[in-house]
Amino acid sequence: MKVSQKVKVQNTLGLHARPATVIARLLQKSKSSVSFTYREETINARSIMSVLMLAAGKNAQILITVEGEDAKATLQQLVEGFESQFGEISEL
Amino acid sequence: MSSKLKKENRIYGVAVSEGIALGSPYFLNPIDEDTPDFAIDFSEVDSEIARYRKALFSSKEDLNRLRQDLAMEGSDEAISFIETHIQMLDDPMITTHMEGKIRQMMRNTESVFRSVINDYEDRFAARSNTFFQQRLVDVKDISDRILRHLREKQDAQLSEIPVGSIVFAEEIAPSYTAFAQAAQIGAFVTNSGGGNSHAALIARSKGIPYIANLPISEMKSLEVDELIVDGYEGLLILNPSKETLQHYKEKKKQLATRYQRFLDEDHLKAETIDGYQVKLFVNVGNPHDLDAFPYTQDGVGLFRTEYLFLETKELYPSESYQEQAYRKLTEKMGERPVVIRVFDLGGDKNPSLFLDRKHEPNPILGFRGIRFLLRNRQIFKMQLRAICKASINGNIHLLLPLISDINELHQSKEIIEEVKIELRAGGLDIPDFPIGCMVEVPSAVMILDAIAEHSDFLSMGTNDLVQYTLGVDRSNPSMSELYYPAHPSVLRMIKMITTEASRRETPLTICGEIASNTLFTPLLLGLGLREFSIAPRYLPMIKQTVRKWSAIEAYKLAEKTLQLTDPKEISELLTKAQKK
Repeated sequence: MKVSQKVKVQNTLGLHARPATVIARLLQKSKSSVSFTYREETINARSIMSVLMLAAGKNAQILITVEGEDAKATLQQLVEGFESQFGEISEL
Repeated sequence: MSSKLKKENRIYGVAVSEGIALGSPYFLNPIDEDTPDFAIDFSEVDSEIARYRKALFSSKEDLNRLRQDLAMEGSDEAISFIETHIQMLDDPMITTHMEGKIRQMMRNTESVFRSVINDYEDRFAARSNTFFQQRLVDVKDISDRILRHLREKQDAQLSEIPVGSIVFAEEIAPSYTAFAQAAQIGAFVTNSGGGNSHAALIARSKGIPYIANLPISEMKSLEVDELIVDGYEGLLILNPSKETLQHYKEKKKQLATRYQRFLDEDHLKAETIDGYQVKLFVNVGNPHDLDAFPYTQDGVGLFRTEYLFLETKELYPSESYQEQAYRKLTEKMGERPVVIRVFDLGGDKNPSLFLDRKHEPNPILGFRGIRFLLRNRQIFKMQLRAICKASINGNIHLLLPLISDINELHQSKEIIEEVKIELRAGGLDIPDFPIGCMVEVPSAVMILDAIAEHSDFLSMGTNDLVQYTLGVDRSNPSMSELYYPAHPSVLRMIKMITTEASRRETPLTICGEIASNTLFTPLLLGLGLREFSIAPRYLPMIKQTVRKWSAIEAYKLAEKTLQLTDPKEISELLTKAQKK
């Protein structure tokens, strides 16, 4: 199964090392292949280094594509992760 | 000698780690300078990949060690950086992509690695603005760490540094400071790296002065015979005048007083006010760990032998290498016991070398500790042979990690017996040394009567016991607030262990992080513990605390603590007790 959805980066500092680490750790449990697309670049979401390379700042629109047996659940978790800023409290 | 002719010169940088050092400069070569680059043969590809995995493994070990040090310091922010780096070592770009590139390019690992990282940096630079490019720091740090582990030369360089040198470098990798000994390195002076860098945190925990933000490359050409590092002011003094030198020698002397007080009190016994004796052992990962802290100890309570993997460039430490390491400790200890814990590999210390990178969905609950050794008998037996041979001239105790089932103990004892018989058949006079179990899994606590019956001694490992009891992964930063050593379930668990051990009169030591934490000392005394195995540097503090308490008071505190059900209340109670 293949699913995809667009999400918005809400973390003040964008997709930096900490959220990228949380994403990699979250995906360890997933059996699907997961990619992020941003500004015409598509990368493997499990790779922290690749996620950093996207240089996605706050409000960047990322397309998540998940393909595999647990695609739906994985996408759901990622979307929730983006919404909760991956556990980062926004410093306002 | 010519320093009298040269003028004193003062340069201010950023104070990173406190302390005063006087010495001569030593310049570390940056990694970039001589990365070797050559083609390899088809038949060498596998060994290059093995070498690369070994470098990743060693890098992970550094970081795990670093994380433990930082946990003692309680610096959550720094721990989260380290977590990212540990996770990055499993990044597909670092693992599968790199290995594929080695096969495809057929060049030595260092040059392939450089090209992969350069490609990455180019792509990164093309996409992002300067703000984002600061994020390259993490990638640079992790790639430098891996490169350092690939380079035997750099490691050799560290041991070649003359004692007491002031080490100058563009930047210092945390792994570097992790292995630096205060006795050898006078101070660090670097260009980049600030107060929150990992290297800085370690330098502080080891008491090595450190100044950053100084133009190192310009200094290389200066003629300097002598210099002073003032880590309090962030001040570097080149060719100090006689007066300055005198001033700083005075200052250094004062600082040594506190340390001297510890040494002066070293002869005092670790006993409670009402005369109960407490034995203080030390935890070591390397025989040299004892050098910087020459306090009297009752023996080595825990030798974490898996650290031997870090020191050798082979895939694993050879039998004779191990034997030497064990002998070094027994020679230092004489009659005093040396508890050697057999390799606790696996889990977060992923031995990718042996498991052929088979992915474990949940490594902390997977093939680690004794489970790993029972399935990799060659490695186990090789280590046992080295331990047996060293036991001829030393008071060695053998400790089995992660026992969770009585059969693991029986099987291990059978293998130990086999090895002894083989060696005895060869004419060696191997004694029957004590064999003990780590108590660090709740299942072991529940069947402790059975385990104790077949063990000569027990050692309580609270770090794992806490994580398994609470079901909280201690390496997961987002769970760190759930990782509570002061959780009532943990304290009751400890109580069960001490009760069972004393009922059977089986010797029991505690060797987890809480044993080194003075906040817990009275409670642990009150729970009946009389043998602590701790990090060498904390020994004087623990002893001071023991001497302030009576067993009766400690017992009352434990009783009170055990009645509480809220971890926060327990923490408060212990904090209050500490201030008394």
